[in-house]
Amino acid sequence: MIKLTNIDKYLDKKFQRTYILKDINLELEQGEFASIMGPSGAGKSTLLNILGFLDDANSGEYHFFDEPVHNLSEKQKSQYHKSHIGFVFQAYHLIDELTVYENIEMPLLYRKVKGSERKGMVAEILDRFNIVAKKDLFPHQLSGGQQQLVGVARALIGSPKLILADEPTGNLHSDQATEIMELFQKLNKEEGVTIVQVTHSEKMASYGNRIIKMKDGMLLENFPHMAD
Amino acid sequence: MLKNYLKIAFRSLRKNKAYTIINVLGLSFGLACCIMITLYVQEETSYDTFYENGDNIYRMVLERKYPNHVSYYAIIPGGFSEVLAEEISEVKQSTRLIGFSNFSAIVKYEDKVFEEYYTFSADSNFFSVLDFDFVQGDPSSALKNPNTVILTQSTATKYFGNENPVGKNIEVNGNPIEVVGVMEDIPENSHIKFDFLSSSTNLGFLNNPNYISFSSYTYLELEPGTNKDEVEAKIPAVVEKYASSQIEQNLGISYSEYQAAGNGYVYTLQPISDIHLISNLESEIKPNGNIMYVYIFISIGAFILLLAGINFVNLATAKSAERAQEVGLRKVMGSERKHLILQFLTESTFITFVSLILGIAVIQLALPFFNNLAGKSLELGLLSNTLTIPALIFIVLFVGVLAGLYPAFYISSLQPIEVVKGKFKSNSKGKWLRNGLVVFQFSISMILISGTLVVYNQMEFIQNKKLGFNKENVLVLERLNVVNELDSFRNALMNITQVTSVSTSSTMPGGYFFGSQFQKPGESDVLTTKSLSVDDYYFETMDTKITEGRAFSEDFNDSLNVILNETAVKTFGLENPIGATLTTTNPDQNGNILSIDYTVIGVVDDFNFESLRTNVTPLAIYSNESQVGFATFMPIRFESSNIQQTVANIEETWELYAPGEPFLYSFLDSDLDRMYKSEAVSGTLLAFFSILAIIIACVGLFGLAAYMAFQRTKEIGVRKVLGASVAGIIILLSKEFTKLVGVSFIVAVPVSWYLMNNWLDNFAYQTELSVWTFLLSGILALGVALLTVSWQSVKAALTNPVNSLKSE
Repeated sequence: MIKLTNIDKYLDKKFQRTYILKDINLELEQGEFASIMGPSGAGKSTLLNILGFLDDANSGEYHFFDEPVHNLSEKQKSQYHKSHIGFVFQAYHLIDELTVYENIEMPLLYRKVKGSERKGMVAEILDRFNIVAKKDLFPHQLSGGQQQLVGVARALIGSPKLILADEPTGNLHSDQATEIMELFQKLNKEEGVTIVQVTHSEKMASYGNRIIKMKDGMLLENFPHMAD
Repeated sequence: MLKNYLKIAFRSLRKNKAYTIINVLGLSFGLACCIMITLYVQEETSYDTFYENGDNIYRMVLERKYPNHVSYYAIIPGGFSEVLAEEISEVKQSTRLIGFSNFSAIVKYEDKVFEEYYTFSADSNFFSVLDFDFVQGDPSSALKNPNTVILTQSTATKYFGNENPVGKNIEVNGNPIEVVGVMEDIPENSHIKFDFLSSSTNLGFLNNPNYISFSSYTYLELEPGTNKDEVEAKIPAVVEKYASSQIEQNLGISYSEYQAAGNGYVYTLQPISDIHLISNLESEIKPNGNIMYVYIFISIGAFILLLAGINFVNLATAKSAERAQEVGLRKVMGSERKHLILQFLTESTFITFVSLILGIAVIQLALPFFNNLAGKSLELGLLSNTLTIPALIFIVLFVGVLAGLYPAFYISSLQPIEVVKGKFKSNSKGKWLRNGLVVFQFSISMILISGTLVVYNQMEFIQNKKLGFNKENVLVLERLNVVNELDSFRNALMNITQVTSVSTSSTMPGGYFFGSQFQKPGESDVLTTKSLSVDDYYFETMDTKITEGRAFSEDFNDSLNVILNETAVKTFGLENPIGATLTTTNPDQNGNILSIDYTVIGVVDDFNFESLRTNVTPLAIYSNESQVGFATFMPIRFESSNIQQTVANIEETWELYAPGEPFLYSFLDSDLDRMYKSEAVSGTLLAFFSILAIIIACVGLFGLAAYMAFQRTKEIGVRKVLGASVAGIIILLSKEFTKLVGVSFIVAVPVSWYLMNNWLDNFAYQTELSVWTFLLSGILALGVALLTVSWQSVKAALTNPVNSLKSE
């Protein structure tokens, strides 16, 4: 599904080149639930951003379903955003001016899903996440966990093949975090959604089936996690 | 999708109330201004566009060349109307309108007495050229018979109320006249105005066709498809054919000699719908507009809207940091750029729409005031005019898209990565643009302010210019023909203690001067002058200086004496003017040529007897005792602080000598001010709009300053903790804007200097453009800008740093 070959990402400053990512080679299969771990500044988020087409590498190749991402246009990238990739953020990033319902509905608007169909889809996911009662509230009226739940629901509504999550539980207390992680695990197992998350916590990483360790912009070790 | 855009626009505006209020206020004032100006321009350009054959109707006007100057007349010799229709095949028909709005008539019906200024006469075919609508009577026959009159609807109502006016007799200046028709009022948007229209067969002087002295407004209807240039090219031949013999008869020189001396008649045709805006000749029926002011106001309207639009752009780009998160997020969700652009355009259009609603309220409140200033009766006509609402919708879309375009493209270009990184800083590119736009706004404001100042300076200059006579404390009575014994009336007035001097004359400065032509005996040179006749006390009453010789006097019979002004003496090259003999030749009422020799007895200082737009032209002053003399006006000089008492005393005397006649008076200084009405009106409007412009610019600046102070909250907090004083912080925040206003000043000065120099060229007598005018406008703009910014600066500087640093 994903194939990174010799990916470099660096900043040039006067006579010095600082590598953020150096010579990353990584393959991810469909159905994997991978956790990227490592100390601050290791390049985890940058790697995730590159995976999500949000950032470009300076050199190297990136194939997404055999499509060379490094050659895609802005518009093609947004097509993939619509149909293949869902994002979950540490700070939730819900739109303050929209209600829960409208936030979840937004990706469908960009996919030009018809009104009645949209309604059904949003209703279904609200139901699944058990937040029907909250649908007319605005983000600031929700707790952090509830907001993240909405964030996940929003990421899922487009039925993406890949979910990218940057410290999805970083702002949550443990009960809420567990709830989100269990949700991820369920999605991964029952629906076969590929998930890549960045996390600092071994516990959170343990929900997945693969851990990718990073340090100083390089992959340290890279092995399937045999939790079960 | 649109619903979603509107929803988010509405919620986002509700959330950022201050931002919304600033934008809406600026835009609604801008829109209100722009719509009012549109109404004004629409009205100004709608003049005389309602005639059935309007495209083929022209007014014939005259450029009269004299050896030393040129004069332009709206009236031409009465003889041409008929002969042009005969001689030039392209002229389908021609008609004349005769009347002078500065001479009043007294109209009586039963016991009602009114003074009327617009009693005009016209040829019987007048209505077949200019098809004004009739309420009663037959337009084709109404003007055929002498001693008949057509009234306009409102005049008819004024005199007859609900009675049927047709068949009734009224008395005009003592002559009984029968009302034969009632026509609709002449629309405000016509250069023509009259309340009474009688048959031209009443006017004896038209019986002998005249081709050289000016009397009639002449309207030609050309055959459809005729080019006016072709007709104009044929006119000189007709003029030569008919005018040359009269010139030879009067002056004893041939037409070619006359022309060789620098005299000439150039007749041109004005399309009737252009008259209001392009024609500003002598003896116009009513003061016309000026195309220059239309252009000026169109530009002001556009600029004001631009200023309001700039506020929007500035605030939107300044706030883009706050929108960046949403934009990035939407992009991550798969939004294409066009969706985002559309979203932001919807938002700006929505703001514009809200502003329009408010703007309409502003217009409803301001329009009466504006009408009062501009002397118009404009209305918005939301429901009465079917075009208004579509036009307003168009304006909303146009302004909304224009104002939203840059922010939409700019904000939608932000990269989602910025959001994910969780930080966004407005880049320096946006800052340059914002600064540029602020400079533009303040330059426009300064140009408008200095323009207003220059107009006011010039008005002041005109009002205080030494005219060669003293216009203060002179009360003017009219219609001396109704006074029974003029001499005793004058003596009775002189007995009033406050009155120091009383005179009579044929006209007053700024009024109608008849023409005279003089020759030295046995020579062919012709001096054409404007003329008036005065009594023995005129120069004393008007406080005008006789520089050589003497004034008219009780001790002499002055009927064959004349006084020239210095320009006339110079123009005619009289070395020893006193005692010189000048001959005039004029046809009498029967067409016989009369030759009269006048002796020059005095030379008068060049006083400004016409508007200060023109230089002083040659003037000949006859005595009232002379054959051409007549007394219509009575200037009365008084010395009193109690003007009311003086007027009451004069009125008492008037009633003794003109019993039953209305007492009508005016003051010379205000009569003269009226000549500059269009400049005064434009000056006031300019002031009105420059105030608005600077308000709009400041509203934008206020928003920008608030935003910048907000952005620098942390910096200010840190500086304060490190020991910066409140004053230091205020200076820090104000410095940047001061620089911008400084740059605006450098941009504005040359532009406004150039523009105002052009405007001043309208006047023969100009005030000087002073450096102070520009400095003052700069200081004013800077003052207002600093005041606006300092509110924010002081607020930011006084904030306790604990609060601003807490969040980090």
